[in-house]
Amino acid sequence: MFKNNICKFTILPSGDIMEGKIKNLFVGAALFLVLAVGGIVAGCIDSDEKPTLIQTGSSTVLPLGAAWAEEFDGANIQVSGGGSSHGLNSLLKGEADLGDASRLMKGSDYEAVGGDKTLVKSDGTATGAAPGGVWPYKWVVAYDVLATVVNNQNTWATNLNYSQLYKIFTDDDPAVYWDEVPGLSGAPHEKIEIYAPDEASGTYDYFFESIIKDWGKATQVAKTRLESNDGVYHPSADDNVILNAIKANKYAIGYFGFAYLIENPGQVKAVNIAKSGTSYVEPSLATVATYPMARPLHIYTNGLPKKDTAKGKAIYEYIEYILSDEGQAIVPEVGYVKLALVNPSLASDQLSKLHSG
Amino acid sequence: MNWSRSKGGPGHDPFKKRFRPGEDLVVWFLLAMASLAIVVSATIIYTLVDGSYDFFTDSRVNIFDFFTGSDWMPNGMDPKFGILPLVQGTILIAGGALLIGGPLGIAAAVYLSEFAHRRVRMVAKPVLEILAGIPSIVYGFFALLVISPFLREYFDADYFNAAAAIIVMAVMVLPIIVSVSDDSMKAVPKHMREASIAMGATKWETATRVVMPAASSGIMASVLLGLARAIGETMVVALAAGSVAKGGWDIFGEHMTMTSYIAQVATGDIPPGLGVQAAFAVGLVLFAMTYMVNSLAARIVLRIKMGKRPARDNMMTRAVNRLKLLSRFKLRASEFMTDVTDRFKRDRKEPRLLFRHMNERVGKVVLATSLVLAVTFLAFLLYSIFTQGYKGLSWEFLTNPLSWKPEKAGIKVVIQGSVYLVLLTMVFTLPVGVGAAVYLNEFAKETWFNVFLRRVIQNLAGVPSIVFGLVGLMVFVRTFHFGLSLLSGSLTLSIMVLPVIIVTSEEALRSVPQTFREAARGLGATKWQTVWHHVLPNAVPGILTGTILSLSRAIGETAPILFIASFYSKVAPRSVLDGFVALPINIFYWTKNPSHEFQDLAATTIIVLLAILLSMNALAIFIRQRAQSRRQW
Repeated sequence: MFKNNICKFTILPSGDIMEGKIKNLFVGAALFLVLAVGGIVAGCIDSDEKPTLIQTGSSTVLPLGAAWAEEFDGANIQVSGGGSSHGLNSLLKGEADLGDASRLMKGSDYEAVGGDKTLVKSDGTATGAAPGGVWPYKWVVAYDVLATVVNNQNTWATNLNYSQLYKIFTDDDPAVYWDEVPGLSGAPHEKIEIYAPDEASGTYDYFFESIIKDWGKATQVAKTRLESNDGVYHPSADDNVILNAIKANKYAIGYFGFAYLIENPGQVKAVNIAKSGTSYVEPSLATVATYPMARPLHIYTNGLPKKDTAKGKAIYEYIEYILSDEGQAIVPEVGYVKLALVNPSLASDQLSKLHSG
Repeated sequence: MNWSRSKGGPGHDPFKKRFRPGEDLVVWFLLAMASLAIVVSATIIYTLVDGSYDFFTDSRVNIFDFFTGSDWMPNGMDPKFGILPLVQGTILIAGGALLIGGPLGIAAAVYLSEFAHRRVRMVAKPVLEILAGIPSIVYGFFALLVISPFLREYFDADYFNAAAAIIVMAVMVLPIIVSVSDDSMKAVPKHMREASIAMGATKWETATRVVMPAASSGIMASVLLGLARAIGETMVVALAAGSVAKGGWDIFGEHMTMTSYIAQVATGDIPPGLGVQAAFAVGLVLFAMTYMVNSLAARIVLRIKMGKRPARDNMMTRAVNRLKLLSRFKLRASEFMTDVTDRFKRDRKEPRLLFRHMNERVGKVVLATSLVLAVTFLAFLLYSIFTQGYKGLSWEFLTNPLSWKPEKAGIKVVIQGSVYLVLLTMVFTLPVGVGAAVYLNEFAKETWFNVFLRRVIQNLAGVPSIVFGLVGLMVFVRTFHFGLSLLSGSLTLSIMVLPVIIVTSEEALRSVPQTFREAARGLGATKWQTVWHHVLPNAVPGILTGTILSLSRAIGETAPILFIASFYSKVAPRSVLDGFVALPINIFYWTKNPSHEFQDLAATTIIVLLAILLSMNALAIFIRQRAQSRRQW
């Protein structure tokens, strides 16, 4: 009604043209929206009715999670990083279905959501549910193995134990020259150079967690040489940079993920490691069960997955897939170590728990 | 019911106020939309202050040490939070970029404004616009994978180094410096140039001693705006400058800036706890720094626009004084030259003039070089990305889902994610942005509130994008419980592009001649009728153009959604609450991947992203051209 009115009032000569123009533009805009909505709808039709799972957490598990999520057909899985604590936190809050963690769950994870920290046992499992009703269940899905490497011409440091690594890598009376490291025969009076991951990497944390007592606690006994900033530790986020630096420098030492060593055979020398004394173990797929610098990677779910809901069924099948031979076959390709190499029955034990419900 | 007819008939008192019920309501509604900008700003400040408060009240943090400490170690048993190394990294990289980009930009602007042929402008302007339109993630890729290897080879630089970031960022600040400087020099009255030429100064002397000083405040503002951009830039430093906060001024070493620390938190590289909380304090400092620099620049620009100071007379006297000085100097110079030439028994005047003309020629070459550099850089950037990425371009790459195997990987899901993200962003911002613009341009009177509102919108446009990321995480993901979803992502992008859409829509409304409004009002249309039936329809092409251009910015933005987007997703989001992957985020992760296959795929993805941007821009230009050719006024 108003519109008619206005047309009467509008005696601008271009009135009709303008009306036409509005129509054109609105038609254009509408067309655009229809196309857009159509695109979204088409996207919906073209995708199936699989449930969506959210997997989040440790950036160490991230590439592995993405690979499994891609190969697994039973669900659409969104994978994101953010760290182990973030993963457990999201799971406990019910925001995520799968929480990735490169460490065990701790009492502090329960505390963060207002729960009782005494419910969490030292093996990373809980004896009761967190306030939101989520009761995390731990799955060990793969192993992360860390390799300490030196230059191929290095003949004196092919075996190292934790206390020697401590002397080389921490600020507690650090060795400046190779011959200052105790127990190395034939070590030259040459400066040690460290090429290794930076603070941001999970590998860094894992390495120092192994060699520094109480790492990350108030009672931590020493700092890393990167933190003390004495110029010996050259950090890099790129394994390739570390590899090339050690390849080029006879007196260099460093560490990175074991998988990267396998990808680049013969370029640098892997150091045999002992926790203490001289029971050195060479890092290799065959010895991974006894090699000290190997850690399990976990995925936490809300209780044992049950098949009664579509989502529960998807989680059940996903875990089943991860623990199957097929799922485990991906692990070395991404750069980690299969469960079977560490403990032949670990996968099947967990599978039978899953099946027993 | 039909008020306007019953009361508006012939013989009716024409001076009586025309009234339609609901019109006030509409205006209030528009005001509410405009005021959303204030809500957004308040939310940003609240989020940063609230997060910082939690951080500073922790027993392990001392606020004094935070501002004066020179150790930044957010992890470990004894975390240290001294922000100085981060500030130092920021100053080193932003300052370095300004040191290179500033002179280059000013030189290019002087050349464009005073010397360049129309045809040169026609080439230079689009080049600068393209440089401004390339997403920062692309510059980051270029810095890490093209510039950095070169520096490693020839300058023994670290893998991550500040120099690569500085070089690339110098180019990123060019467009803003050139365009603002150019505008301010063009605003210098023509008669000043004429006066200068008439007094015998060469064009070069006119440009450097009359025009540049007269436009000095505008040039200053342009440099400040460039500085604010460099301080707030995230992706280039996050990719290329490294993650070691050790301070120092070694440009070939690693440095961490305030923005790259927040980015590290966003990608989950900092374990949750105090280190994450610290991001808010860092964000607050970053916000304060860019706010100060931006508002200083805005004040200068405003002063120029208002013409308050340098008043024209004032400007004139100053210029005349300068010319007097110049001529006095020339007189003295000529006396000196007389001595010299007498000694060499040569003509008195020729060498002097020759010298001055040579000066002009050399100067022009120097100025033009800066433009040539910008063009060369753009060409090199596009060339290196294309050569690295074109091999991966195939139908499979566009239609395959993401994969952890580079040979199988495709970006179908990623493209879908980005498209949905931007469409949702448009749905949120377009009505609000246009509503706010209509209010500001058509209804707002010069009250303190509206002046305040304008300032808020202007300041909002200068907030670093990574800060929006922090705010989006806290507000949409956590407080509203939207999770890491498409909805959270698009709302975050929305609050970021809102000020841009408001400003461009306002410009479009302003371009509708005032006579249209007067004519409509004169014939008895109410204010709202005028706006709805006469102003808005004529502004639609301008609004659409502006919206498409701001959305093309949004689609390339990485930092704001770094907290929210997923690393992997098998299918495109099916509801707004699903997680998503997006083009710039994918480029970021693939660029960071040490495997060269993935780095090549990052280049290929950049080609796709640039192609999308190009077609969006082409669409905007098409709409503008069509509207202009059909325009009746």
